[in-house]
Amino acid sequence: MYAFLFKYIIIGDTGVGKSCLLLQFTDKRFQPVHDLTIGVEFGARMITIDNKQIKLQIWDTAGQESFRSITRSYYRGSAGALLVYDITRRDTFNHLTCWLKDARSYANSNMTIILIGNKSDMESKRAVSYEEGKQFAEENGLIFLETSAKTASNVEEAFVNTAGKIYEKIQKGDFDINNESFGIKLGAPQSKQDGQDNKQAAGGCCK
Amino acid sequence: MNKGWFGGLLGKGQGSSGAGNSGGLNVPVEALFQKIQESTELEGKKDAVSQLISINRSCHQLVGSKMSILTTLLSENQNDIELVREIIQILTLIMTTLPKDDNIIEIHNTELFISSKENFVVITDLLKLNDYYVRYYIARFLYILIKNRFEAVQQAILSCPMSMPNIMSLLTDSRDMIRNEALLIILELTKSNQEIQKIVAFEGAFEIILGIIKKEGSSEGGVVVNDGILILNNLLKGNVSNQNFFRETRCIQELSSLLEVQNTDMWILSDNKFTIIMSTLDLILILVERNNTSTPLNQIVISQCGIMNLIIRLGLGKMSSQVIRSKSLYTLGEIIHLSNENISALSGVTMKSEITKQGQTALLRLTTVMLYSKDLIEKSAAFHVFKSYLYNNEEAQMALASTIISDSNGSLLSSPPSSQPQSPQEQQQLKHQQQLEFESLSIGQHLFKALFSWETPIAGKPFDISCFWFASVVLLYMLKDSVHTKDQLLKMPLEVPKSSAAAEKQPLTLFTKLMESLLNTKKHDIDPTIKIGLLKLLSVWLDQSPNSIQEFFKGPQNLAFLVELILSPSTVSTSSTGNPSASLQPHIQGLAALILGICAQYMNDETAEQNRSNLSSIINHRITINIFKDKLDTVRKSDQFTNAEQSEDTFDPSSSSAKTIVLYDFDYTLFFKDIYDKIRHIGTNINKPRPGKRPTNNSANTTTTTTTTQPPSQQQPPQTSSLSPPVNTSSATSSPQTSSPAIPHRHDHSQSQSQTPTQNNSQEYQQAMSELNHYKKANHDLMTQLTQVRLDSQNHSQQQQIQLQQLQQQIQLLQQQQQQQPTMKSDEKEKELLHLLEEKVREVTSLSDAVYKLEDVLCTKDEQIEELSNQLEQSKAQQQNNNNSGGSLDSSDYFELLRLRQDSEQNHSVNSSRIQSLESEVSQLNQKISQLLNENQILQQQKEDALKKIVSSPSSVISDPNSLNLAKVKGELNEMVLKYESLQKEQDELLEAYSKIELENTNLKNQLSKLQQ
Repeated sequence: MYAFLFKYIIIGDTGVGKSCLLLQFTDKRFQPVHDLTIGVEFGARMITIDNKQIKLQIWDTAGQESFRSITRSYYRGSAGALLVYDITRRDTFNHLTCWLKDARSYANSNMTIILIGNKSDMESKRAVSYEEGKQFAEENGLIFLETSAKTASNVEEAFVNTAGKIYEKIQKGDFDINNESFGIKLGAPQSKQDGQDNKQAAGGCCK
Repeated sequence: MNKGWFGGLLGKGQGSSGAGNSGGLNVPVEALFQKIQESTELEGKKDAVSQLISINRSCHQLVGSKMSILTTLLSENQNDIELVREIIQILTLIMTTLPKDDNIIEIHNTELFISSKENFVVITDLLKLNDYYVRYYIARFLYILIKNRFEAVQQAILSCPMSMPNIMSLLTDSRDMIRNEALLIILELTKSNQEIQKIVAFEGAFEIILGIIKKEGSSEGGVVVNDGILILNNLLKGNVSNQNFFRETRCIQELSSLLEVQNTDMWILSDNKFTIIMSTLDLILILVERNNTSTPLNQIVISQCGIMNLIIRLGLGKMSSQVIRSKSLYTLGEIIHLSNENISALSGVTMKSEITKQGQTALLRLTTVMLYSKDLIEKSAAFHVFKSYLYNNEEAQMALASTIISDSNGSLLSSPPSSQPQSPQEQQQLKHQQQLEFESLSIGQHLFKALFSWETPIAGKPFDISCFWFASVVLLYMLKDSVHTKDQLLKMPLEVPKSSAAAEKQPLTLFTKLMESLLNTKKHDIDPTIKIGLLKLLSVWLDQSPNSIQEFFKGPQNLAFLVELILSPSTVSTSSTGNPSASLQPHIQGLAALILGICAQYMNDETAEQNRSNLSSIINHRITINIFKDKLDTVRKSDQFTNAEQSEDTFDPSSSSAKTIVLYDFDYTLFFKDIYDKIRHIGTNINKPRPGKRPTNNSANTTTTTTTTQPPSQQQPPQTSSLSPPVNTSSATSSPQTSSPAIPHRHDHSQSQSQTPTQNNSQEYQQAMSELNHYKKANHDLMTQLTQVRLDSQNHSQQQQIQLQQLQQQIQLLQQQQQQQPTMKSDEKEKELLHLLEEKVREVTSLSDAVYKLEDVLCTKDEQIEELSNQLEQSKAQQQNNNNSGGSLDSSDYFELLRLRQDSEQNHSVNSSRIQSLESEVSQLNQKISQLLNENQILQQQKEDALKKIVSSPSSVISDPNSLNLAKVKGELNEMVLKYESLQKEQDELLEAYSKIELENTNLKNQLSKLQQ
């Protein structure tokens, strides 16, 4: 079925478009009015990287402060995080430090984080410049992309690039592939061969 | 503090069994805690803790109050395995509740512990240790915490992000003892909080638990497997996000191993396996729960991965457990509910017949289970599948309807051959023959035979009311909301005509057969449940189907039958207490009323032209709207109805549906209420108010009444519907805008008159008023007379109807007799008899027509009376108004007043003569009605004579005297027809007279309005 399974978590302030990004990625549609996410919602999709099928399981979290403690339970088991802000709302950008602090303290140190400036279609209302976003990402070692869940611009890339980065880390042997707490899982038998190869490679690296 | 010591002593006296029995009786708790706090060496502290383990129950409070000393020690020495074990043991001890105690102290200790977030973090962090006892003790401790303070633990977990992964790690522990404890913890923890459920799922619970289930042998496993399934149920119930996750990770497919049974299981099922299958069916039900966004996708996966097929085998196979069969069927109904893919998949499933050893469709098997199973729960579960199969699925409805037609060899209508005493061999053969025939029936034929099994017994099967009942409700859902199916069945003959002669006759359809049988229920003392079933079926059939309603009105007795049901005295039934069937009478009446309402609501123009006034007059006058609505209300308020409207069908073997037939289901209550709302609307339209009340549709009158309450200066001519400004009335002499010149003119004058008060004037008005009163009295008399006429006529028509029914019965008797002697009949006689019968039927029809016409006339008359009385009231009001203003009359135009009086007098004399003539008309009418009645009686007598003659003529010997007799009868009948024709003529005359009266009435009305001015 798949070679690897990656668990993602989407975080960020309320109303920045987290659920819309997920919906655009899994269902390829945009829903202008979306109910407030309660707690956490689940979505999944298959992508291909390096000719390997990779299953993404994505947990979309509620941005509201009241759900923050619930959200924290999902950091540890995730391999990737999409940290989203709204380019038309300065405050959502200002809160990034806070989100990042949360992620660093609860997630495993190898979690791959991508910074996403969403709503890039609303150029006229822009409140955070591309450069600012890029600078923040570089300072904190994050991947960076501006996306639009409405036009689907860069949405695919956001999820796929993150997966690419995680895949890279696996190749380098940064993970113990058998420990699922990193949010990474090996797939079905035919791809297990690949996984074991990687594991051996990883072992070699460490020793 | 002393209490602790005392407790210890008391414990000794009771011989209580503390943990460490021997030394535990005199544990110096205070001293030990002091030692823990003061010792500088860890060994000293450990020594004290070890002694604390021996405390007994009476020390729980004291130890609890010092809990912080223990927890601090614990968090400071997390690597000292021995100490950790002991402190966890002590904590467990002081929170362990006993079933019989009040446990207040233990619960309080739990609260104390959980209130510190730090405590929970320490405990769950300790799970990182791999020591068997530490993990096992903590698992036990967590379980006690959850049992004691469920919500507090949930909150603690949500606020400690690392706690859940640690708890989940217990599930993957290779040591079964720890894993099994973990299963219990997760089972408790996931009971209600969706967020916890999601976190548990995120931590990989689905995969872990399915792994445990597999390792424990799936359906061959024991209680551990069942615990696993129960956790899955908790995680998925109502949790769309988790269901999506479950489906996306291909977990549904893994469930099929839990539903697989061996051949031996068919006979004897182990308790464990039984429980596992039942829990798994619950799990499937959770996945296909109605109104859930993930249900449609889950349904498809369930069907595609073969689980649906497994469930079909469980439900329709040879499984000996009736509970599993029933629950499987119910689950199957939910799996196909609103899923076109699954419905067509089910249609394609075939199974091996036990008798013919050939393939038969699962649907056919389902039909026989529903009709002939011995268990009511199983029957209703099978019906549940049928309902889902037909619901919102016109294709399936029409396909099923088309199977009702019988093929050339089998006959639906024939009764089974009378069973004569036979040799066992022959009996065996007959039975086998019956079974083969039985197996060859289609689903529709099975349903048809079951629906009429109370009339025509099914060969080899004793009558079973539930067999009838489920056939009737399946047919109901086969028709519901599908105009095409209704039309199709209206046209489709039940049997392919065998000969050209038979083809000429009107072919019997399901509808005509249904009506025929319904009418037959009058004759037999049958279970009222049968009537209810048939009426429910009829109500759904007629709903939104003008064609069916037209067909319904083609039967001359159909309407009368329903009216009779509604009006049949319910006191008779209530007096016979103890008879359960008596309590069903209101349901029969309510359903009959519902059907009348449906007819009134949905009949097409053609039918309406012939029947609407008839129908509305029946509802308004024969039944009266109050009783009509009361009958409907009684059903709505009945326990059977209110129970059914609570919720959609559920599977509950312990509910009342397991023991008795449930009259209504959720969908039928919706249907009933929908119609009820529509009829209520009709009711106000067709319900002309009783005399003395104002008809709402007369706008001119309405205007007048509203203005009578105004000051006189603002009074308007009744013909102008809007209020004109007072300026207009002050220039009273010219009223240019009025459409009817004369009357308003006078009206205006009287107004200008009323502005000039004199004593004279007021006298004139008083006189006028007394005249009007006189007139009113006359009218009132007339009205009472008319009411009398109406009542008489109603009685007559009822009598006529009864007579008609008797006639009908006699005709049926005759028909039966004819059928009984088919071989001996000569063609000639048959023809004659047929002829005779046709004539009689025609006669009966025209008689009933006449009755209805009479009733119509009466109805019209009634309306006229109402109008008259309205007029009266108005004139009275007008008069009062005039009178009131009379006190301040301004006598500037005395002549006008005089003229008015003269006119009034004239009007009155004309009116009174009219009234007299009206009265005479009425009495004539009365006479004619009684004449009509006499004629009818004579007719009836003659008919009875004729019938007697026909019946008494020896049927065994067909000879000349017999045909002579027949000729005589025929002659008599001819005479009767002639008489009847003259009767009809007279009736026509009566009608004419009535129209005359109506004319008179109109005149009278005009006069009145003049007078009123």
